[in-house]
Amino acid sequence: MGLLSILRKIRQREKEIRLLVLGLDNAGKTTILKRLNGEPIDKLSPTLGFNIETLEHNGFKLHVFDVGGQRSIRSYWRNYFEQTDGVIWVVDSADRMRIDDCKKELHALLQEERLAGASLLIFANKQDLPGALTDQQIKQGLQLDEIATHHWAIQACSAVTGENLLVGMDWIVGDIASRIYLLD
Amino acid sequence: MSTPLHEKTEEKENLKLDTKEAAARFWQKFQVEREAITNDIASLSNTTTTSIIAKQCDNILERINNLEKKLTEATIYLPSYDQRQLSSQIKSMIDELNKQRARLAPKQKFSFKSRKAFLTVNSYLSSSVSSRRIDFQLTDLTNCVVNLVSKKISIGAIHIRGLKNSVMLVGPVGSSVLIHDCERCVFVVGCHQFRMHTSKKMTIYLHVTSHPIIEDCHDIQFAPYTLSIDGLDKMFEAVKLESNINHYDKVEDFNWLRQQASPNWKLLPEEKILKDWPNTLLVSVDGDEKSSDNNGNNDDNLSEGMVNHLLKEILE
Repeated sequence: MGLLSILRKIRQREKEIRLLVLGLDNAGKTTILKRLNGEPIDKLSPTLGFNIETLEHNGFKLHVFDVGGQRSIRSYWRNYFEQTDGVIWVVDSADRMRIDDCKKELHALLQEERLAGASLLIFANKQDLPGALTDQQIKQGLQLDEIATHHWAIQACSAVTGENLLVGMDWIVGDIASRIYLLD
Repeated sequence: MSTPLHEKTEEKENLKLDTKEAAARFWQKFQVEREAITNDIASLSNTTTTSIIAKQCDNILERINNLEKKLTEATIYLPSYDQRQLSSQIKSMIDELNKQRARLAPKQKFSFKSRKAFLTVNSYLSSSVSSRRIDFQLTDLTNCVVNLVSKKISIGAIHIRGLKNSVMLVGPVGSSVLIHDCERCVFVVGCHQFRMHTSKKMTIYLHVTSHPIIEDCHDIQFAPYTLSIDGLDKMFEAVKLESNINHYDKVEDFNWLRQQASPNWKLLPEEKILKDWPNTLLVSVDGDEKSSDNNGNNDDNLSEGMVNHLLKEILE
C-alpha cells in the first residue's frame, strides 16, 4: 500500500477538506470566512498574514486558509498551495477598476501545478453594494469560460448579508467530495 | 579544546568592533552632510529672488530627508544614544530651514497650472440617479475639490485612482475606501476599512474602525476625522459605522514589517490638524439655500482658495 493511499484512507475517515481563499485585497475574503463561522464581521482589519478557520459543513471538516491579498504578500500565496482541495476566489464586484488585475492574478494562479485538480469557486462578493457588477459581468470580465483545467463555478453573494454564501460552499464541498471521497 | 572557544570570543569581539566602527563611521559621515546642509541653510540669505530661495529650500529639505532615511536604515547598528542625538540634530536642521524659509520666502501662493473643478455630490445627484445608496469611483482628477458629504445619500464604497493636487471630503462610508496612485491630496473620509496603495504626499483625515493599511506609499500623514457638521451622528448611524472607535493612528505598512515605526507615514502634528473646516466648502452640502446662491464662478473661487489652504500644509 502506497503512502498516498494510506493518506487517502486517513482522510476518508475524517472527511477533511482543505480550502484556500484567495483574491485581490479588499475582496472580502476574511469577511466571508468570519461570516461562515458566525463571527462578528464589523471590526475586521485588512489581513496582514493569514487566518485559518475550521468549519463543519455537510458532515465535512473544512480547513479554510484565508491569505491576505495585498500585492506585496501575494507572492506568499504559494506557501499554502500544497494539498489544497479547492480554491475560493473572491472578487469585489464593485471594484470595476481592477477587474483586469483580478483576471490576471486568477489565471496566473491556475497555472500553478500544485493546484491542478483543485475545484474553483468564484464568489462575486459585495452584491449588497449598489455599484456591484453581476455574476455574469464578472464571468466575462474574468474570462471564466476559458478555464478548462479546473472544475469551476461562479456564485453571486454578499458576505455582509450572508446571502448565497452557503450555496457556494455547497457546490465546492460537493464537487470536492465527489472527487475525493466517493470515487474509490 | 580551548582554541575554538577562544576563536568564538574573538569573533564576537570582532563583530562588536565592526558595529562600533560602523556606528562611528556613520556618525562622521552624518556630521559632514549636516555641516554642509547647515552652511547651505545659512547661505540662503545671499540670494534675493524668492522663487530661487524656495527651490533651494526644497533641495535642502530633500537632503535632510535623505539623511533621515539613512539614519533610519542605520538604526540596526547605531547605539540608542547616537540615534537620539542624530534625530534631534535632524529636527533642529528642519526647524532652522523652516525659520529661514519663513523669513526669506514667506508664504508663496500656490497656483494651479490647469483648470480646477468643484465637484459636489449634489451636482451628480441632480444629473442622474434616483437611488439613495451609491458607490463612487473617482479617477484621474487634478486640482479638484470633491465634496461627497451628503445627508441625502449613503455611500457604500469608494474606489479612487489617480487624484492629484486635490481635496476630497466624504462623510461616513459603509464599507471600504480603496485608493491607488494618488499624490499631494488631502482626503477627509470615514469608513470601515481603509487601504491606500502607490500614493505619496497625502494627508488623510480619517475615521476608520479597523486598522488602516498602506502599501508602496510614502510621505503620508494621518489625522483624526475632524469634519463636524450637523447630523453627522445620524450619517454614521445610517451606514452603521461605529462613531466611537477610530483607529486612524494604527496604520499598518505592508512595506515595513519591522518593529520600529515605518518611515513612510506619520501622524499629522497636533498643531497642524485642521479642525474648523471653512464654511465656504461646507455650504454646498446638501444644497442648502446658501449654496443655491453660488453660481459656477463662485464655486471656482471657493475651490481654489480651499485647495490652496489645505494643500499649503503638504506643499511646505
